[in-house]
Amino acid sequence: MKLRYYIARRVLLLIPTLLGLTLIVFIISHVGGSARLIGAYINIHSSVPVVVQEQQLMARFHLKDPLVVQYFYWLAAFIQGNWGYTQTSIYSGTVLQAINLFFPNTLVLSVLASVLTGIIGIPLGVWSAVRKDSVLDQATRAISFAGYSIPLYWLGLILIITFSTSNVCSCLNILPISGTVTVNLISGVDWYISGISYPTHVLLIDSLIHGRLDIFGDAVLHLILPVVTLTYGTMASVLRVMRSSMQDTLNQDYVRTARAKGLEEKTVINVHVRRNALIPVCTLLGYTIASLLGGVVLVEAVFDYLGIGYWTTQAMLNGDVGGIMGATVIFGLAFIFANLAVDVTYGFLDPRIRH
Amino acid sequence: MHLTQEAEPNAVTATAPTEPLLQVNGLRVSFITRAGRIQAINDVSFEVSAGETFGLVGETGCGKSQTALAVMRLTPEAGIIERGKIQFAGANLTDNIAHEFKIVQKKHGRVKLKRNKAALKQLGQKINQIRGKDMSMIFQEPMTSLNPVYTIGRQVSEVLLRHKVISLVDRILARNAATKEKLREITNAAARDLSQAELRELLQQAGLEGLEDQVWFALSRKDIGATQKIRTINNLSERKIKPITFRFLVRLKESKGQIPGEYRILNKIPIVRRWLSGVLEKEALEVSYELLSVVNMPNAANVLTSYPHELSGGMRQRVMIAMAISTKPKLVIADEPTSALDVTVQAQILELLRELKRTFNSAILFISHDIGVVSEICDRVGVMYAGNLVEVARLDELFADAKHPYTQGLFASIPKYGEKRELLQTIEGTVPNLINPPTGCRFRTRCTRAFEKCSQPPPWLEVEQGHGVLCWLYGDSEKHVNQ
Amino acid sequence: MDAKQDTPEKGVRTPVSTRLQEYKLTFKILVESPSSAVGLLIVLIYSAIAVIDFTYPSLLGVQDAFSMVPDYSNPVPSAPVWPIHPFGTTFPGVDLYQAVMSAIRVDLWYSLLIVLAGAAIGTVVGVLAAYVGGYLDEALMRFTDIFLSVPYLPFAIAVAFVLGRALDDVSIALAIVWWPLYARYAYGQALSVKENAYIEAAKASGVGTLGIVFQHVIPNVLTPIFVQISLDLGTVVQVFAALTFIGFASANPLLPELGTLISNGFQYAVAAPWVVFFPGLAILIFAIGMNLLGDGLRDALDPRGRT
Repeated sequence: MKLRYYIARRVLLLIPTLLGLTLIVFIISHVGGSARLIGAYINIHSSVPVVVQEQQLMARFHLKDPLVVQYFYWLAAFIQGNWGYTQTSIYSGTVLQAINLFFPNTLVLSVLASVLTGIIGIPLGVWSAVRKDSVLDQATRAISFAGYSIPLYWLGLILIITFSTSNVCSCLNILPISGTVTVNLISGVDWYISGISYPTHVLLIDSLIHGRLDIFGDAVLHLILPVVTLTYGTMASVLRVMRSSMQDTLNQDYVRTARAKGLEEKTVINVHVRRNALIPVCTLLGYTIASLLGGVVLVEAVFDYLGIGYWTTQAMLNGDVGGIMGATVIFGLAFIFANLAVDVTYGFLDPRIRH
Repeated sequence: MHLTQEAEPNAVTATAPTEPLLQVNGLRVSFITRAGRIQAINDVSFEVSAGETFGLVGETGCGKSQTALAVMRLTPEAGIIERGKIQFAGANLTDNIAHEFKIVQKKHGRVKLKRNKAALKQLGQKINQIRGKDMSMIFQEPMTSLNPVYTIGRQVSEVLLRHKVISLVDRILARNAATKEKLREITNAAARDLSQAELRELLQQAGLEGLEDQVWFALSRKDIGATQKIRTINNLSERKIKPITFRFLVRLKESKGQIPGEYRILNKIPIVRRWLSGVLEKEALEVSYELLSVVNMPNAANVLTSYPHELSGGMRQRVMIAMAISTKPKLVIADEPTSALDVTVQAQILELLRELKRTFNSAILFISHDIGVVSEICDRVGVMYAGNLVEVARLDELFADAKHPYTQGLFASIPKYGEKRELLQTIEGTVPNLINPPTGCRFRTRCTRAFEKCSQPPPWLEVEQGHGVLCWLYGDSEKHVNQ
Repeated sequence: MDAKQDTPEKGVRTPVSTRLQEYKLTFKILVESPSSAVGLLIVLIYSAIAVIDFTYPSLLGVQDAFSMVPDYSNPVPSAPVWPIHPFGTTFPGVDLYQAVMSAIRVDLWYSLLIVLAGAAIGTVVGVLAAYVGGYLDEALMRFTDIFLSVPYLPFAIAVAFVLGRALDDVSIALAIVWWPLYARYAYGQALSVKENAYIEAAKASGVGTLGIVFQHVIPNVLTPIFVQISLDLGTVVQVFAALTFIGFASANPLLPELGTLISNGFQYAVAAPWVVFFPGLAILIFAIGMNLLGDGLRDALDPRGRT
C-alpha cells in the first residue's frame, strides 16, 4: 500500500496504545488501595480543607465502586486535563503545569542528543563496517563498547569531577558543571523565575527573544556536558547495531548483483547497502529511545538540570504521587510518539512493511 | 539498440573466429575456512568464443558457480584466486592476483586472509568498466538477487545510467531533431514491412540514428495495432526538451558521459535537477520499459513501479535478464537461471534466452546441474567434477560420444524413454571432500575403470577436434596443458 | 546420485558431532577470541568475589558482609591509603574497599534474580503466544505491548515507588519492566522454531500443546535467550544501580550497594572523587565483562563461524 495509508493506519493504532498507557498509570496508582490516588489529587493550595477535598474526590472518582467504574471516571478527569497536583521542592502546583514548565528543557536535551547520535553514529557505523578491522574500526568498536557498558550517571560524575575547579588541572575548568545557567548572570532578569524562563520555558530560545546573547552563550555552555554524556550512551548502541547490520547486509545477494552491474563500490555502499542496513537499526530504535529517555532522568539528576527527569527524582524523594504519575504519563507519551515517528521512518525505508 | 544485432559484419557461425572472447587458463580458486583450505576449483581452463553458448555442467559443489563468479571477479570474501589467467575481450582480469591477498599463518595451524586494499581498488576501477557493460550475470536466486527497497524501474535504469548514458542522450537528441515530415517518411516506408537494417539506413539518411531503437520497438510491439504504431512513431517528434536541457545533453555527450564541471552544482538543486539528470532518469525508465517488454514481462508498465517482493520468481528472473542484456554485453553469464523456478516457468525462460541469443548474438556462459536444460540451449559443453573440468565437447558430440567415465556415468543415469529397468543406474560413492581431495584424478575413488596411473594428476588430451578429456584412459602423454 | 557410503577413506566426509561436542566447540571458540576470554575472566572473578564474600568474607578482607561499617569519629571521606584503605573511605567513615566488595555481591544477586525472573516469565509468555497463535497470541502480545509503551526506567521508578521503596521492591519492579522484552524476543524466536519439521513430527506422534511447548520449543529457543540473558545482566546491573542512585534504598541504610554508594558520595564527588570512582568502576568493569562475554557467546554460536 502507499506510504500515506500506512501512516494513517499507524496513527489510528495510536488510540489503543494511548488507552493502554492510561490503564497502566491507573493500575499503578491503585496499588495498595486508593489512598494514593486521592493523595495525588489533593490541592494543598486550595482554600478547601483537605478532609473536604478527600470526600469530594471520593465522590468524583466513585472510589467506592468497582475498579472498572473507577477507571472510567478517572479517565474522564484525565482527558479533561486534570492530572493531579504535585508538590516538590522545585515546584508546587498542578501536574499539567509542571509538565508544561519542565518538559521543554528535557526536549532540548533529548533532541540535541538524538540528532548528534544520528549524525555521528550512523556514518561512523557505515565506515566502521566497510573498513573492517582497520584502526578506525577497532577504535570505534572500543569506544562504542565502552559507551554502552558505562553507567551514564557515573560518566556524568566523572565529567563533573574532571571539569571542576580543583581536580586534574585548571586548564579544564572551562565548562560549567551543573545547572542550566550561571546564577550571577541570571539574577535580576525578570523573565526568569525560580528556574523557569518565560515565555517558552526554553532558556535558549527565551534568551534570544529577550536579546540577551550572553545568557544564550552561557546556557549553551551549560548544555555541553549533559548533552555529551547523554549522546555518548545512546550513540554507542546505535553505532554497534549499525555496524553489525551493515555487515549482515554486505553479505546479501543483492549486493553481489549491484557489484555485478559494475557500479562503483562507493555507490554500492551508499545506495544499496546503507538503506537496507538502516532497517534493523530502525527496529531497534524503539529500544534506543527508551534508553535515551531513561538516560535523561539520570543525566538531569546528576547535572541538576531542570527538566522532567529532575522533577521525577524530586517527586520520588518527596513521596509525591501526583508527580510520579505525571512523569509516567509524559514519558509514556513521549515514547509513544517517538515510536510513531520510528514506524513511519521504517515504512518509508522498507516497502515490504507497507503491505 | 537492445534489439539490434551488432553493427559489425557477420554474425558468428559454427567456426569460432580467431581470438576467443573469454579465455580461462589454469584457474585455481580456494576458500580459507576454519576447517581448512577448500580447493574449490583446481586448474580449470576453457574458452568461449564470441556469439557462442557454452554450457558448464556438473553436480552441486563441483565448482561451476564459483568459476562463473571468478570470471566476474565476484569470488566471495573467504575465497581467493590463487593462480590462473582470465582474459576477456583482450583485457587481463587477473594480472594482479599475486598482490591482492596475503595468507598469514597464525597459531594452531590456522590461517588468516589479508587483503591488499590498494590492489583491490585498482582491480575495482578496471573491472567496473567491464562488469555490467560488456560482461553481465544472471544469478540463481531471483528471490534474493534484487534489492528489496527500490523499485524495479529504478534497479533496471541503474545499469543504463551507469554504462549507457551516451545512448540515452542520443535517443533524446534524436527525438528533439525529428520533425513530423521526416517521421512521416519513415512510417510510410514502415507500412511496407521494413527490416531492421533498412530502417537503420533510412534513419541514417535522415540523421536520426538515435531513433532506431524507439522506432523499432514501436514496430515490433505485439500489443497495439498498425495505426497506433504509426501514431506512436509520429508522436516521437512531439517530445521536445528545454534549451537548457539541450545544452546540458550536448555537453554531456562531449564529456563522454561524465557530468561536465559547470553543471555539477546546478545538478544539486532539486528543481534544476529535474531538467538535467532527471531527463536522463526518465529516459532510462523508458528504455527499461522497452527491455521489460523484450523479456515478455506481463504488465510491464506496472512492474516498473513495483517492488521485488510484489513479483513472482519467474518475473524477477525476467527482470534480472532484462538488466543483464540492457547494455548489449558481449558475454552473459547465466548461473543456474532456472533452477529456482518451476518447470513451466523454466521452459519460458529458456525460450526467452534462446530468442535473445538469436536476436542478439552475445556469447552465453550457461551454468547448470541439469544436462537436459543445457542441451536445450548450448553449442558446446564443459563437464565439471570436484573442481576440475573433466570433459569439453560440442553438444552433439558429447551426447553421442562421451569419453570421460564421469560423463558417461551421468548419461547412463538418465532414465530413457522406453527403457525397462528395475533400478536407476547410478555412480557409486559420493563427491569427495575438497579439503582433502584424492590425489591425482579426483574421480578415481568412484571410477569403474580406474587404474594405478590415476593416482597421478591426469593430463588434458584433445581426443578429437574440439573434444578434450581429463583422463588417463586416452593416452599416456605426460603433457599437462597448463602446468 | 547414490549416497552409499564406502569404508571412510580419504576424501569422504565424516558425520556430525554430538551435543556435548557442540558445547565443547562453543567453549573453544569462545576462549580463542581474546576479548571473550577476557569477558569470561571478568565474570568469573566477580562471581568468585560474590561467593567468597558470602561464605568467607574475611578472605577478601571484609569485616561485615551485610552492612557497611561506619566510623563516626572520621565521617569525612579520606583519600586512599595503602594498605588500610585501598579505595579510601566514604561517608560516614566507611572503608570503601570492603563496601565495594560486598556491594558487588548484593548487586549481582539482585540482578541475577531480576533477569532470570524476567526471562522465565517472558519466555513462557512469548513462546505460548507464538506457538498457540490465534486469540491467545493477539491477547498476550497486546498485553505485552501495553507494558512496552513506557520507557523502562521511568516505568520502573513508578512501579517501585508504589510498591514501597526498598530494594526488593526495586527488584520486583525491574522484573515487571523486563519480562515484556523477553516476551517479544522469545516470540520472534519461537515463530521460526515453530516452522521446523520436528515440531510437526512431535504433533504427529500425539504430544499435546503444552508438552510441545516445554519439551521442544522452549529448549530450542533457549540458546538465543541465553545469549540475551548474558547481555542483559550487564544492563540490569547498571539499571539497578541507577535506581538506587536516584534514591531507592533498602530499609537498612548501611546495606552495601553500588548505586547507594555512589549516591552517598554524590555531594563529596568533586572534593573526593574516589567515593564515586570506585563503585562506578566496579559496575563498569562488570558491564564490560558481561558484554564481552555475551558478544563472544553470540559470535561463537553463530553457525557461520563454526564450519
